[in-house]
Amino acid sequence: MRKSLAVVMVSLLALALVLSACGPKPEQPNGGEPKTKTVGGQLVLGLTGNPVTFNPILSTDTTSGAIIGRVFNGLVRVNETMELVPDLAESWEFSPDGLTWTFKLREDVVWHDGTPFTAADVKYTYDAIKHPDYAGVRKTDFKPIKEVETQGDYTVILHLEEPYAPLLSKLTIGIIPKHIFETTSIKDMKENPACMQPIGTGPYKFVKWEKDQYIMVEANPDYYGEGPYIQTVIWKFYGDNQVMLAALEKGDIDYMGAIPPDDVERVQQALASTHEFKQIPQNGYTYIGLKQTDPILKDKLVRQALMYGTNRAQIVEEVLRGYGDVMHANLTPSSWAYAGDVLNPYEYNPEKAKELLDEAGWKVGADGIREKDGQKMNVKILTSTGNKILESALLITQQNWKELGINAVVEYIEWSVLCAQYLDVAKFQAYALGWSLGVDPDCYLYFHSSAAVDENGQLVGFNDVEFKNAELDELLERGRTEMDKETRKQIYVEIQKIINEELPYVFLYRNNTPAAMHKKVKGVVWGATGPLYPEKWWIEE
Amino acid sequence: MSDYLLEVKDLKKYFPVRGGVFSKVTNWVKAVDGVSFGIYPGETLGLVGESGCGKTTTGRCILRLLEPTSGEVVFGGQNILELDRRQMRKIRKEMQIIFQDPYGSLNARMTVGDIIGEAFTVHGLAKGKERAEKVQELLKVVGLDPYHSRRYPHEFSGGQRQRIGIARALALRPKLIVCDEPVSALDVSIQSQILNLLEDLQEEFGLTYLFIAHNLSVVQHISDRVGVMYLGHLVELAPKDRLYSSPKHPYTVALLSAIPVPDPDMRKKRILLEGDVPSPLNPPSGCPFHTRCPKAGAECRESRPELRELSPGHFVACHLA
Amino acid sequence: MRSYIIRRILQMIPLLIGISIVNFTIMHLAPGDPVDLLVERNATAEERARIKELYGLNDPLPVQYFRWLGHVLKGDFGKSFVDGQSVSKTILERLPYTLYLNFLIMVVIYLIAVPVGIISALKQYSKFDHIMTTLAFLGQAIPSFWIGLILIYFFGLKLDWLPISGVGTIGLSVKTAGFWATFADRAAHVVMPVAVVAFGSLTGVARYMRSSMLEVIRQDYVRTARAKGLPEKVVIVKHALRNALLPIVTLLGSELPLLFGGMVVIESIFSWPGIGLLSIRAILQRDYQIVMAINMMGAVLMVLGNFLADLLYVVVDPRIKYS
Ligand SMILES: Nc1ncnc2c1ncn2[C@@H]1O[C@H](COP(=O)(O)OP(=O)(O)OP(=O)(O)O)[C@@H](O)[C@H]1O
Ligand code: SF4
Ligand SMILES: [Mg+2]
Repeated sequence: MRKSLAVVMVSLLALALVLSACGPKPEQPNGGEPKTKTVGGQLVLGLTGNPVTFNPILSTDTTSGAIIGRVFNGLVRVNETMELVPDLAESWEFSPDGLTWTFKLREDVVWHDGTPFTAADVKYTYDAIKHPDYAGVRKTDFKPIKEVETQGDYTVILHLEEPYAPLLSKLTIGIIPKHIFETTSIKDMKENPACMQPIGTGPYKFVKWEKDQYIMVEANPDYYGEGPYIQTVIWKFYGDNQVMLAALEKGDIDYMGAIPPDDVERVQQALASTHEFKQIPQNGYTYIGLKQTDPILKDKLVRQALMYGTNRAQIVEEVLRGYGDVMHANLTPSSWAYAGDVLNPYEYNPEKAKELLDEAGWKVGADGIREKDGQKMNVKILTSTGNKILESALLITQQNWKELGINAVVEYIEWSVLCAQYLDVAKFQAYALGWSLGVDPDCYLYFHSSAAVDENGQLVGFNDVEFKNAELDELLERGRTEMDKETRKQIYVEIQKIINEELPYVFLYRNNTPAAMHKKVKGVVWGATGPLYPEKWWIEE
Repeated sequence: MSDYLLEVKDLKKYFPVRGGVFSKVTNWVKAVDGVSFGIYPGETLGLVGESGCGKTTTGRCILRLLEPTSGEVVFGGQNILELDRRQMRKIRKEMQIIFQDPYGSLNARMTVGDIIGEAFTVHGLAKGKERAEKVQELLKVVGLDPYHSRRYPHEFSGGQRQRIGIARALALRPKLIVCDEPVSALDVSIQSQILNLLEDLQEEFGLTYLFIAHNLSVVQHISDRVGVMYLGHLVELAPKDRLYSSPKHPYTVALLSAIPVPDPDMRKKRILLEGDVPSPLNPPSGCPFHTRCPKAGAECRESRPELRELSPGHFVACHLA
Repeated sequence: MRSYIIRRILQMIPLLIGISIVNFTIMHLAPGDPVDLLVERNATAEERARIKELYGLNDPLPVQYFRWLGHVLKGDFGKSFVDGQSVSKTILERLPYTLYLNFLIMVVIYLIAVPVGIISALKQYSKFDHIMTTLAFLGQAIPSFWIGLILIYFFGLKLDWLPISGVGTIGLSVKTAGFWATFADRAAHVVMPVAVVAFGSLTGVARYMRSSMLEVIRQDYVRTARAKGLPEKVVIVKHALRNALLPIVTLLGSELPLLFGGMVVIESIFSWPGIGLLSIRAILQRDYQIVMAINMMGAVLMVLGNFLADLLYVVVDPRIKYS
């Protein structure tokens, strides 16, 4: 249960996590290049959670996303280096002012029901998201689109309000069939049977969903790309990770994506001969948000002291058992815009931290707690209940901070209460949570001053720490409008440097979750959120 | 004496007392501790004593509704404690019991007809219509209406229920009936009706009664001989008139003085017993009564007095008698 | 009797209405707005307002309540905000699995617990009784998810005797494998869930049976039966047992509402697609419509269960008459 709460929590924020993919060094497919790719066989994957809807524009959770990824296609898709490559769109070009994007669509695509796929489907999908009655979480992504125009059956032209580079990454979203959905109003779209029995263009056709038991898809013989080779793919549901682990050991499932770190060693030994074990770097991170207007935390020296004074390497070693990386700024090593070595790594240095605190005027009081102008250095960190790993990480943090003379209290609050009463109204001193990131490095909504609270005290974007930095604002705006990837990369490196220096958050870690895949499955390409290109895998018994 | 219908010899019943997590036996309640007496055919032997002295236990042991710890119960020349289950079930036709509580002793989920008639069925004496007739006959005998047989016990008053209990006990035409305080739960006005009924039935069917009561006034009327129990022991046993006119045991004397006497001029000095009845868990050494006995001497604390026959038929267990 | 039944049923109505009001109010007072399910976290106020209007969430609570109640009375629990599916349909899909599992559990519990309770009452303080008492303690003290995991580990994984989870092997049906193979497969899947729940509550029922039996065999009417010369078996079965079963029978009635949501842990461990799993998911996903529907059905079952228990009393106990 706890796990699924965390899943829900993270997924609500994940914009394109499922389709996003990457890894700094792409792995070679298992067992090298194939001689012959066998057609047929069955692959069984383990899954926790409960899919909600198979409609790509309504889906918010990773569980549905896993299935949607095999059944639907977007105009573009993400490759193993986290670049956007053609999928339903063969090619595209941007007008020099960046306001008109023209996509040339494939002409050999048919829906699973045999109807040909056309530009009208693309327009329908994007218009649906932009419709005022649309009740889903993709609206912001598509706001920059002024109009969707079609030219003939195979050309789609997007007219933008202003140049907006991150939009391309949003076009990974699955296109839905107009002829199926136009029979229901946008408001009632969820009720359309195709949300439960999806019809897509992808390599796999939906067969069956037995609630809380399994989902079955089968190879689509009319798929336009290479593959699929495996005939049947089944996701089996497990309400508990330990049970899923037992299922993996028993051979009920061929793949498990999030092995609890504590169990990895044992399972790895038990299944060494039959399974391949991989780390799946997550494109997301866990952090402690620091209210930038707080009397204690508004001082940059204090924030830096907290970075130096938190033993993040110990957290990764002990809590994550090494299955993670220490974070220094707001992009993970998975992103193509990751700044890397130019960032200050803030290696654990309590002495330096104490110096900084002294310098900031916080002196150790009689009770060992620092104080300044009669104010004690008390920090209250809010966090959501139900995340064991974060709980342990905060325990270490609390201890570390105590050594610095900071009295940190952690308060656990149920997720919806935390959102409604604290985060969404930006009322807190500090809080610990995680972000799942999109494919694009854009982080305007998190750190731009206009994404903080409005005059009514309502949070506009996700800048709940109210970080405001004119230089960063300017860079964030440029990052969105600049269309050239290399230039954008430089911009985002600058952004990371500022964030690394100014510290709206204490950056903690990102997880690299351990996963196991049966060796009989060949052709697997390992990406950021797990194995990629499932249509190209095959089974060799 | 072999002309007893029932003879009880050195009957003992100890109940285990359990304690601790594993319910280990930690002690014994000596509810009946070496009781001996006999009952002649056709007579009524009254058995009296304060609450908890072991009367009920004695009565139940006689019928083997409780397994005695040791001793003998000789009925019709046979020690029934040696009988196996099957033989025992047969002998139950001959000895019956009437319980004190007219509510708890009748199975609430059975009709009166079934309660009374079940015994016929199980002993193969009558079934079907014949059984029903016999039941109705019995109901008439105890003063109830035959049509009552279709009713359930809760539809009757206490007195009526006790009549049902009597009819049931009577059904198999037993020789001996243990009446365990059959009237103490009833209204005083009804008590004498039931006592009269029991007397009439005794006459009609030639019954032998062991009549248990906790005060002497009830037994006085119905008994031929009376035994007095104290703390698991029989302390005095005598023909009724002798016991009431010249009680020998200090405890009997105290009990008798407690009987309300109709004529105030005849009021005797009441002997009030001091102190509580000792617990059968830790019975006093020597004479069990010595903690409360007004006459108790040194000997009484050390050795237990045996039941002695003072005069023919008059037995007393007291050093000073 | 008939007037009693009618009166009881009439009394249920205000009770259920009261429960429904509380249920509705709590759901709406709980932190988090249903509209959060429908819009992005950073949706603008206008966007929120528009969606609220569309889904009737702008109306005052009483209006929303009566609209909801109106639909419920027609047997329509509305559509889930989360997946847009009919709530009644979603629940009905799950119900057979829950009923199936519960039925088997009840059968196993009563088939085992009643004799065990009787034996340990008749053999009070024997070894059997001690073992039973210890097991009863363990059954109540050990969390069922733990027992579940242990069973899965030993019987599912190490010994490989039983399937780990689910209701049946995927793709195996009467059509593909024949009746007996399917039957065996379904049976193998249900063994562990039944065993875990049964172990947890069996011991409780057995203890209950034991004390009920102990209570009864001390009664004079059991002695009466023995005095009649009835064989011991008849004394125990006909006189003691029938009376001792009385409270157990009515226990059944009170267990009825447990069907709804009482099996969350087991259903989740064994991937059993029942009501328990649905309700916990609905709570986590804040699927208001489903949570309210399950709560309401639970309340109805509880009220009905009590009523049924009372009626059962009349059937089994001639002393009780309602008028
Ligand atoms: N089943 C039992 N287990 C343990 N102790 C018992 C049991 N039955 C009776 N006793 C104890 O044995 C003693 C004698 O009990 P018994 O019922 O024979 O007394 P009684 O003379 O019939 O008293 P009363 O006038 O109250 O009926 C009491 O101390 C009682 O507590
Ligand atoms: S033996 Fe002694 S104590 Fe016992 S009754 Fe006689 S005088 Fe009293
Ligand atoms: Mg008694």
